[in-house]
Amino acid sequence: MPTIQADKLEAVCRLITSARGSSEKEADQVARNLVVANLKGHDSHGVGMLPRYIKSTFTGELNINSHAEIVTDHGIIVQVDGNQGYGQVIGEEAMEIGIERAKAFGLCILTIRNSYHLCRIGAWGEQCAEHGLVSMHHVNGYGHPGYVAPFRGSDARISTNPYCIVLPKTSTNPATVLDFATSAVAQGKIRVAKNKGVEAPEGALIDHTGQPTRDPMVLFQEPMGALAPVGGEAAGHKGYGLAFMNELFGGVLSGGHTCRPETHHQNDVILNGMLSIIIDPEKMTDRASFEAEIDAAIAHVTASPAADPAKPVLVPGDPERQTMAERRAEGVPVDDETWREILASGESVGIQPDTLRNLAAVN
Amino acid sequence: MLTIDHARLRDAIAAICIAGGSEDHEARIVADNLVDANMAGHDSHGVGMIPTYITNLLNGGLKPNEHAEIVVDNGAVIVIDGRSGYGQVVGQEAMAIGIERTKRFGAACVGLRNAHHIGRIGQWGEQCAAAGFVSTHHVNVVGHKASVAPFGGSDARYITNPYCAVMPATDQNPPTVLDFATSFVAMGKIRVARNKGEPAPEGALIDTTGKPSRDPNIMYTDPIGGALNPFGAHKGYGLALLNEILPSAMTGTVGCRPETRFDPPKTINNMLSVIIDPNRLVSRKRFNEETDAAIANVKGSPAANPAKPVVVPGDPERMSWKKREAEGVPVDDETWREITESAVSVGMRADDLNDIAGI
Repeated sequence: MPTIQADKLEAVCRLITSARGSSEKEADQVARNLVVANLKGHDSHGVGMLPRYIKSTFTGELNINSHAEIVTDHGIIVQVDGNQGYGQVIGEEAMEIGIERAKAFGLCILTIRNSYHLCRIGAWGEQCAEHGLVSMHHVNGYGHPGYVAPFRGSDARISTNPYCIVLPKTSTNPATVLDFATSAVAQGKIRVAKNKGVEAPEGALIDHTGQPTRDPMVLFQEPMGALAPVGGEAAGHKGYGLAFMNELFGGVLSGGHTCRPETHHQNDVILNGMLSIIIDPEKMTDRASFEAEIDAAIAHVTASPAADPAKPVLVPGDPERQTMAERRAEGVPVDDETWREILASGESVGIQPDTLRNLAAVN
Repeated sequence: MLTIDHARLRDAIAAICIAGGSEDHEARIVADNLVDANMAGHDSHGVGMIPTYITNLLNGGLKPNEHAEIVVDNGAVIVIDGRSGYGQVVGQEAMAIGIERTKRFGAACVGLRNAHHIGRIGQWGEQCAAAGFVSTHHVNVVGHKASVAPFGGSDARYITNPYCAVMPATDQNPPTVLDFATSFVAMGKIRVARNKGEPAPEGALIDTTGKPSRDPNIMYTDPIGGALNPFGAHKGYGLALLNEILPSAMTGTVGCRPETRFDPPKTINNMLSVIIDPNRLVSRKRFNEETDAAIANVKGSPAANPAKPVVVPGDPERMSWKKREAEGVPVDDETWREITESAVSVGMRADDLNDIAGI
């Protein structure tokens, strides 16, 4: 398994993206966003996505050099169409609009539809947080078959529909970044279990009859099972509820689509709809008391003695920061299969594998 | 176990509130809100709350006949103080203000602080949905003994911090009402297990060392001998923590911590609500089509157990409502005894209360 320094990995992604025709800026946005996902430990949203993106540019389902287009504008409420452009570009541009509106009005309700993969949703909350804003993001996925079964159901009907809430940093604490898939685990974890030949985590999967199973193969061969929503048998209705509200908020309010057989694309594409709520806390209270309350609450919960002394209580965003520090120092592990796919993707846009190997300093 | 007709139960609860000093209008709002929670099947937020309310009222923590007061007004973004008034009243008033702002601006962000217990949060989402609006609600609880541990921790640090998100009705489907405690299960389930002498659900509890426990009694010792887990491990904990922080930090007040006990005691809720007019985003036709199709899609998944078909959030509550409207509201003996004691404590005669309730 190659381990590649972040800047080198970014250069590889930039070269492939620009060789396909993206502007320098777009190639930079895509490469940076993917590598940050790896740095934060979210490999499911990292450079391994690029081959799929490049493939979709060839099938006409990802439009390079597209931009966020405002289709409805009521000041506080803005609706953006992503024109099936790179989610990394559409997301960043849309957030810029939302941030400006939230600063002006105290609140912005921003929707995005028809964006190609918006990737790690935490990135959008972090962008808002850099401007001192609080934000919540409800996301649905469509254009591909469902991966996740509704609670009590027996087949996949919706996507992993992430939910994200971000608080800006205070003078004491970094940003609080909650960003999770509403499925029990990400699909990537099941792929890893399959490749290693081990059982899937308990509560993660159901078989085609709706019964719990630990066999990862149910996601890869007929008869197909599905990912279960987060919460397990006792609280799966809560995770399913979150997933379904994200389906409605992201799919309906954006003017886009919900995930159903009629909205599948012929090829396996990942389109996203998103409802973002962006709030300026200074329109509600003063910055000092806002920060003081965040700090006090964080100090209070992290003071709970750890059940396992090796695993202290954390706040959302901490695990990502720890992984980022490690991987900045040691490089990003990229598994062999992913690296092979990246090299092949490079070849599809006319780049020799050796060029990429040299760029990445990989033998 | 008693079964009480819901209209008579409303009258009985309203009579207690009036005896406690509430004006008729307030008493009616409180009674309807509590009985509606029972109707929806959420007995933990139903008439069984009255004893706590009356205790807090008599101690001076809960103030009757108070009203919501706007303390920060930036148009679409407002902070409202509940002045320790009945949460049923100030909650309804706060949502009415939020709905009015949403009509003007297309969306509103409403911070409600310092409200006495606001009951079942789904009702606030339903109030917004009745106006045709989408809403989300993040809630914390202050002034109460903590009951939920952070993921990986070993003691309770905050309470069951509910989350609610609501999509209004289409022409075909009623509102989709998601409303849940961010703990593994509600405290009510632990109480039931304890009363029946059964183990608590697996995964629900930890002891004071952070190890899993099935003993429901640990939640009833003083000091508390354990804690509820969050639902969904780190994910549910994350949502619980954000619910803990948002409603306080955004409204200039404080969350659940040892130093935020109240004297006299009261159960305070703070809530951050976002209300959105969907008509500013999509046509009614598209709203109907896409929402109905999404509901049909998930309900089309064959049930793992044919006796338990796939439902959407809000369906279980509607089923309970229908049943209890026909059959009456079950109130366990212990709860009714406590309610009767409360009535007596504000000068009612137990027989008069039973007469009103038809018992």
